[in-house]
Amino acid sequence: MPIRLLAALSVLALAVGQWFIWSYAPLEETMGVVQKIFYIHMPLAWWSLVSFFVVFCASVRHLLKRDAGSDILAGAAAEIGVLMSGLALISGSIWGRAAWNVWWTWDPRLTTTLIMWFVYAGYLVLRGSDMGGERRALVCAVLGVVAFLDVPLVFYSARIWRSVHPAVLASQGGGLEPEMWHTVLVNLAAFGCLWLTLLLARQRIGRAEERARALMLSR
Amino acid sequence: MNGYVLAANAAVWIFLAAYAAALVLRGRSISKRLKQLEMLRD
Repeated sequence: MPIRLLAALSVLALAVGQWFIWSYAPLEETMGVVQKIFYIHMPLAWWSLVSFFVVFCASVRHLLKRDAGSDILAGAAAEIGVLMSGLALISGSIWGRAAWNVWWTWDPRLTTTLIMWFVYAGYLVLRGSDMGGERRALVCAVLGVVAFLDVPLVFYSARIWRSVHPAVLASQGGGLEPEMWHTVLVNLAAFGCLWLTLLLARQRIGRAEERARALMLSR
Repeated sequence: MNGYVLAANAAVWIFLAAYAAALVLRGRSISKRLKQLEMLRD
């Protein structure tokens, strides 16, 4: 599917998601309208974890096959993962201020997510370093595998340790009404479309940059 | 609309739109550069 078509589909899906948030989902009794932040916060967090899983898989593939394509895919997924986890941290912090009266607390879920963000931000800095093509790709692939150790910790942190962060997927139904679940799922799918569009677009740019580099070297 | 909801939505959509716009511009720039390099090679 061409990226332009996928981009148009993403915009449409996000618009439908917004309709679900503002018109379909009922107002939560305790938190009121502030709870609606959850419908954008949760998909962002979810797709950032998927991004880092893609980084892990592409890094393992690069270590096994040493192909440029895997390295490009890992870089693209890491960039989108850092963006989405960063936005999940920002939206979560704003929600926390409204719900807990603090912008930040050193809760296990929040702390592991912040560590994950810094690790992958460091990964992106490493990717931009002037270390030489193949060596840089190899070092990044190793970091891409090691960095993933924190991702399951982020996912399970709210269940393993005492956490003030709600574990919606862990609890049966998560205290959400069916209409709220529909809204979560629609937005999860909409952000999934956006994630795929951004990933493919970024991957295409990465391939073009690689080709340009090869042409420059061959001159 | 509640100020917190507005702030969270503004932050998310502004950053996502800025990233998407940056990708479009970067894509256009690299494809132009690629065309120039291929013309030089031919």
